[in-house]
Amino acid sequence: MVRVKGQFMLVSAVIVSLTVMTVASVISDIQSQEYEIEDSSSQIIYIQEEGKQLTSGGPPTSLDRENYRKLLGYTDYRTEMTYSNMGNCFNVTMVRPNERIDLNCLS
Amino acid sequence: MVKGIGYALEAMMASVVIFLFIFGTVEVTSPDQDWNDYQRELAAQDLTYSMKASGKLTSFLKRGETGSLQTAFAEISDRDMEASGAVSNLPISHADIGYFTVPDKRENQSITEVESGDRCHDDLNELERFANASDPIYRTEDSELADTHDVTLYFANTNPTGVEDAKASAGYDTLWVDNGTQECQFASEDGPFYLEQIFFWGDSNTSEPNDFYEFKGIDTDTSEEARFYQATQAHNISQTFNKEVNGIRTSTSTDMVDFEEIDGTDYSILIFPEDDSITEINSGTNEDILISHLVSDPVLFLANPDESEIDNGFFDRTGFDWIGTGYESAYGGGAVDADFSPRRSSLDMRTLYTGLNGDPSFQMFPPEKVVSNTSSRLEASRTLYSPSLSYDLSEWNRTVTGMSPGGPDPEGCGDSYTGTVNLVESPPMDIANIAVGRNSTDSCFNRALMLDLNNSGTIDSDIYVNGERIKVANREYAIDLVDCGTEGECAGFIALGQQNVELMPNTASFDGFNGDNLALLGYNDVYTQSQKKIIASSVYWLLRGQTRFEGRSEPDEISTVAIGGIDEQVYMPYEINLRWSE
Repeated sequence: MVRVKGQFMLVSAVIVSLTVMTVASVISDIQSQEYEIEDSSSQIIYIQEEGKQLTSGGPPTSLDRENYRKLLGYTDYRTEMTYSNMGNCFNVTMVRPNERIDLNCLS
Repeated sequence: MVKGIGYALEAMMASVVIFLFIFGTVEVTSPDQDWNDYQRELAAQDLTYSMKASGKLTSFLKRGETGSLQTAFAEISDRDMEASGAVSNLPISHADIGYFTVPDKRENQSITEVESGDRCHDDLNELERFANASDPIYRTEDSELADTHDVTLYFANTNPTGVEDAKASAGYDTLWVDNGTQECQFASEDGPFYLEQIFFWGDSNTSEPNDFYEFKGIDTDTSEEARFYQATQAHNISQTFNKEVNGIRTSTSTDMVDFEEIDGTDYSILIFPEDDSITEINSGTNEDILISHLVSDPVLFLANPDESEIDNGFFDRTGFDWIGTGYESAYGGGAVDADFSPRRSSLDMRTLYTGLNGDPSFQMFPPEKVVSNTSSRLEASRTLYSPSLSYDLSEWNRTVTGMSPGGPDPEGCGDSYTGTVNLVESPPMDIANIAVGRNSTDSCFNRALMLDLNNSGTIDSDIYVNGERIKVANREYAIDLVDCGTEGECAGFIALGQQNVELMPNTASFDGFNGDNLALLGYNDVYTQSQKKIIASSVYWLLRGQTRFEGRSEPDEISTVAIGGIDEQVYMPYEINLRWSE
């Protein structure tokens, strides 16, 4: 009985230690993290604002739409763009590894 | 007692295990994040976004004022941050255009000292105020050239740079135009004109006078001659460069040049007008001088070269090719309907043209039968093309009939026929129409073609069935084994390719060197407003709208990007990359 109690204490100690280790690992990761500004968030804002501005004065010409597509090419994303005549708005999908952003009906 | 020691040992081991885990995992380190860089990066992002969102960025770019943009960044930043960077896709950088002058448009005019008894001898006070007192005033002598213009030019040494040192003075460097009607009175438009400036040498009141010259030099010591380069066409085209593009203020200057000046000066772009300029390029070392420019800066030709000029000399080293068919419809020369295509290069040209308020309906001159040759087969490209005039590629079609029994039989069908086809720019080629597709009933149900593609004397190519394509001598053909005649005994070759006449061949492909862009537009003595806008658009397009600006400090690693568009006559996207220093 005494031996069982002692082994239980040892097992408990190991479990507690693993828990502490996990928490400590997370704390260490947070501590060593580099803080960097993401350019991509501003790119998305620029794309949204330009899309809205381009449709604000009425339906853009086919040339304007193609030039908006060119603007999308300046981002770090692989992009797909369609223009909805009905809604007078752009639908933009921006994709890069592990990230997909759908900007629906920018107007 | 033993139990107590056992408990104590277990407890100690548990404690040791816990401490080992804790101290082995948790490393309390000092923060290595440079918060200063982080804050500066945030500030740079905020500055960039604020400038863009407020519309200031677009305003500065429309005026081409990158310096003002830098100042604004510095002023609104409480950290005195400075930006360097590059703007893409906007025609805001200053362009020095070198416009080549063909030899027969370089003029010499004899001059003489103004002496007592000359018509204006006592009425040149206005000029003498500018001139060095010790140097006499000269004038043009009567000559065929002077008589043509019926206007006298007066020359003086005015030392316009203000240099007191006589040796540093440029000598005679200034002219005035006495247009006759003013009787020795010189208005502001009559001068002074300095060396390398374009002036109007005439007395015409027409809306588009045609007597513009660039003042190139004067010799008062030996030959007593003044040199001029005709500049009427360059002047008329350059008027278009003075217009805003999509509300963007552009900046260009045009110099009439020869190869000596091209060799000694860095021009943003060179324009070679007329076929004679091609002859000049292919003379002496001029081709090398042109290539030394072309490796870093673009070139535009306004010319109608012939096949020999494309196949020899400078053009032989370019990606251009001669398509050499007739036209599908009657064409007697002159301008033809022109249009843009959905290709990206064409959309960029169209954007610039629209930004210049170009008429959507316009015509251009075909630069003969030159094509860009950008695809894997010989065909016209579509940066600028004619929807109304097409090359007749059917001239390359070939049909072989009455083929003889025999030839290769790879599937053992026993039904082959051989013949010979003469495709364009290819030696006679043996071909075989063979039966293929043996089925379960042991009959062959399909026909195919084999060829002696390498001219080895053996028909040993892959098997091509009806409709498949082959490429021979840079031309692509669809194989027709059905509608060519008696099935099995014939073979048809139908030429494929874009047929609409190309109106602005362009290439960045060169043999033996890496070069910038080269483009060719058809030449005419006089261009319409729309055509001049196309020429201006092609210049901006060739220059590609890349503008760099530098700050006083070396930028560090902090960088930001803003993208947007200038939405006036057309939506013109741009990208601005900024690097920051503090």
